[in-house]
Amino acid sequence: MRSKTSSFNKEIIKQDFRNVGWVSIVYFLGLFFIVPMQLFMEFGRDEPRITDDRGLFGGIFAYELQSLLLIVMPVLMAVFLFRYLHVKGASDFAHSFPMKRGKLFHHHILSGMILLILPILLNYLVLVITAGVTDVTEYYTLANASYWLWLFTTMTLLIFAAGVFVGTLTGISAVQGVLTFILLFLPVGLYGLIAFHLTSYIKGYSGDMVLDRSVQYFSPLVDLLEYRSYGPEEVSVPVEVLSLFIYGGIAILFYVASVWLYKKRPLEAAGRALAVNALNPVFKLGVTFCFALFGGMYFSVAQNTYSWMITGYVIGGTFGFAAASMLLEKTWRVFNLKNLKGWLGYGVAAGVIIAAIPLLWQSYESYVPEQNEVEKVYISSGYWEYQQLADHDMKVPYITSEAAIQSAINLHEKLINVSNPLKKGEDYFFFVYQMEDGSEIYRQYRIDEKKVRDEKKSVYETQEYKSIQYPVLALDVSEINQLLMHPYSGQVGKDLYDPEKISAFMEVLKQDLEQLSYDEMVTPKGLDTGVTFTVNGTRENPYYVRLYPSYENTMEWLKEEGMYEQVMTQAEDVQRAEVYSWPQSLDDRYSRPRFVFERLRGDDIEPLEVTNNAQIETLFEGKANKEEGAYLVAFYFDKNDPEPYEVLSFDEGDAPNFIKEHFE
Amino acid sequence: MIEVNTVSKSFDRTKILNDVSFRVNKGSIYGLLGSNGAGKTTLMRILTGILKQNNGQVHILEDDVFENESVKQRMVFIPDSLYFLPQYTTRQMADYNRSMYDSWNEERYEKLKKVFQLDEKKKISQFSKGMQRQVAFWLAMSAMPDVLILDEPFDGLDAVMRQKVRNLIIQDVAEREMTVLISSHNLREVEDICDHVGILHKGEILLERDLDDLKADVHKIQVAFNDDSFQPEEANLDILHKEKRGSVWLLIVRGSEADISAEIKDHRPLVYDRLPLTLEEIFIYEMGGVGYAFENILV
Repeated sequence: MRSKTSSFNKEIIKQDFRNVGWVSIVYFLGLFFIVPMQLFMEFGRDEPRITDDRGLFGGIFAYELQSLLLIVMPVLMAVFLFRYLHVKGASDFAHSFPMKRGKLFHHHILSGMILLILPILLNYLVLVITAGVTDVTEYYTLANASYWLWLFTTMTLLIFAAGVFVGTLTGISAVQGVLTFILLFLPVGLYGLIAFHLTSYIKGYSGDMVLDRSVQYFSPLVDLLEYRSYGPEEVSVPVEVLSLFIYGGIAILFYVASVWLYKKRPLEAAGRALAVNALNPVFKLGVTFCFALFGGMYFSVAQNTYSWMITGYVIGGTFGFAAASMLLEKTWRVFNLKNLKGWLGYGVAAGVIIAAIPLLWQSYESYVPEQNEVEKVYISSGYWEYQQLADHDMKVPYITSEAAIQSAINLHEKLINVSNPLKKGEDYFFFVYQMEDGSEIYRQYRIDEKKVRDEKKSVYETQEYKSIQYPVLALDVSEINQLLMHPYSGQVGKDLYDPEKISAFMEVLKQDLEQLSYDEMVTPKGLDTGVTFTVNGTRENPYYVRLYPSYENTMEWLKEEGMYEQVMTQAEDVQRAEVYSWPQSLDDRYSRPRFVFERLRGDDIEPLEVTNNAQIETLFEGKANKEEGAYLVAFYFDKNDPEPYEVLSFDEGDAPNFIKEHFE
Repeated sequence: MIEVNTVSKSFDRTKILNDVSFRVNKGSIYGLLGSNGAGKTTLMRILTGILKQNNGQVHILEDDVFENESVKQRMVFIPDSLYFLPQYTTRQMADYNRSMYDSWNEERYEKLKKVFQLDEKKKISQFSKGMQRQVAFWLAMSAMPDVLILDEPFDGLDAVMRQKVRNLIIQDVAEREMTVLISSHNLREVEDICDHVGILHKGEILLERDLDDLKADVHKIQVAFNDDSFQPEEANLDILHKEKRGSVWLLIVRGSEADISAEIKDHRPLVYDRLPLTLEEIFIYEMGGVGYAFENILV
């Protein structure tokens, strides 16, 4: 008798190729048309396109399409390759042969890997050969192409391994496909949901920051899709070297888990949603929990109260439980007594987990650093301003003096006492503490500014905070190429190019900013003019400043230079103004002037119309951003434009007399 | 040989097989009978190492079958619903099977080609159901198995082909002492090929019999007496069934023919006839006492 105990069976590989070879061919052709073919087409252009340093990950090679193939093809491969596990006849057929399960599995894994890597490798070879024949340095380097090969191979194998793992876990091919993508996205989704809930429960927790900072580390798919093949950001690669190693490691873990599961898996599971019965409760609880969180998020975003949030948990959890039961029982008719009991059980379990998560952050909530532990602190009105500094590689303006740090800590303490994470106000407070021991502490609060006015004021009036509020204070005059002042009145405004003029302007502006009182910072008077800067050739910077008529030194300088009338809005520029009395009903009392104005206008209340220039002049004394007052003033510059440019407000005390008389 | 010892199997919480034990000797053809849903197919999937039993042992050729390559090398299974690799021709399937079975015999394959007269280059999916079953036999017999397990094998075969397949099986049993297990829901289908029969009902083996013994052991007799003094219960007979029509008794009796004749003659019968008994009747009477409606299972 011939001995054929050799461990390799060519016929299985052959059969796999006949079965799923098309996936490989589609993958090859897809990559070929997107990458090498595109390159050849570029050669044929008379005027080559401008390329960047992204190479094969760049816009010319449509990285977005490449990543789409990269994400879809390995999952297709896993689904079709292991389809036989999910069809009873095929499964019995495959497993009645004299071959151990492990060996059979390895044969299929091997053919899957060959069929997936081959298309990548062939395209790589085309690129390498092309690079040998002609000059392609304009488009990519060999190092870039090799990284492309590595990245595509690793990510393909990772996604394939995840697909195979899910395939051994389930008994339905469609579920395998869907669950693979869910598995790859799950960490991000869960992380996002939990971060959102912590933000709603924990004072000071900034979900925005947590998500923005680390979301890509929680899903290989997000990691791949987050990358942009164009745009001004610093050039990088879609997945970093370290991440590739980690993903490779995870792929191996998936593979090991799959082999183990495949050997354990009862074959009668073909056709069942989950092959391993022990996982049914885990699956049900997981789905119930996730949907409950999602429901809670949906309703709390819409309603902002804990009672609606809890309603959301119940609705979401019920939906999730029903969906999981339907999938497991493969019927929509799951409404029976047994499931009702299960619903109660899983509901309570999910509720306990949801309730327990915020408890883990108890000490987080009440923590306020001691002044002597803090090296420096940064405060701004939101995480994004901080992130912008980092994005533009700018120095973060920290508060360093002891007194100023203490005032920041006082504000922080007050915020903990008065803020309520769900009842969000309009104003954000974002803290970054750099501690003496090198650690960083982040906090974010959202509350109405009024409640912490005193504490806020003492922070705002420190020079150090002003340099945070007005990044322009730190701007080096010599770096300014151009300075553009533009009033909203429709007047042309004024550009400054002359370095001497710019320097003089900056000097008076900085003086004014440094002298600003808290009230002037929070509720400035009058109609402003925006100033944008072109610094080192780009307008993308955070130096934007608003000029208010109360900036005395600057106004003086503008008048000396004869630009005042061009730059600042004049009474003549105003077509008309409308004055309303601010209703003192509860709804309107603490609200943005513009919202109140919209409502009054919607109610067809007849305003006092002002067209007299002298009177309009007095209306420029109105304050912006104040959320209470006696009168509202809306300014119009163009009679054809139904929207006013700005809405200011007056208190009873400082309103011009003609207004008071009118409304008496 | 096949040895099944107290095997149980459940799917989810439904018990499919409960404490099943039986034995098929080397060179024997064993018929496993049972109505639909009795658990025949599940038992066969366990016997071929596809499923794993929850309890008990399955020994084939004196070894555990689950995940045992060397045992499975010598065994071929033809399931009731046939499966072939998609788009494959018989020739391609033969290559596939050859790569799996060390004992694959190419000459046998060529020889069988003449027996079945099927085009080996044609896609199997284009064949009729009966032809597909012939392909399955063709491939199975070419692997020269020591153990052949067949689930409802004669489904869809016409009488001529059925006879051909039967002869092939019997030939291998005779020449190579191949062991065969055939499942069926129809006794008539297997009574002319099997030497042993077991009945599986609701997951349990109800009885196992050697067919030759069975035929020699159960008798249908018709007796009449002068008077009414004859009471079957009092006679020294193992009666499976009794019936009285007028003065004539119809009895189904278990025991050797000589013993029964002697006993009846003691009572001086007026009439004593032995009537022919089909295998089917034997089963029905054997089972009748247990209280199941076996007619349904066996016909």
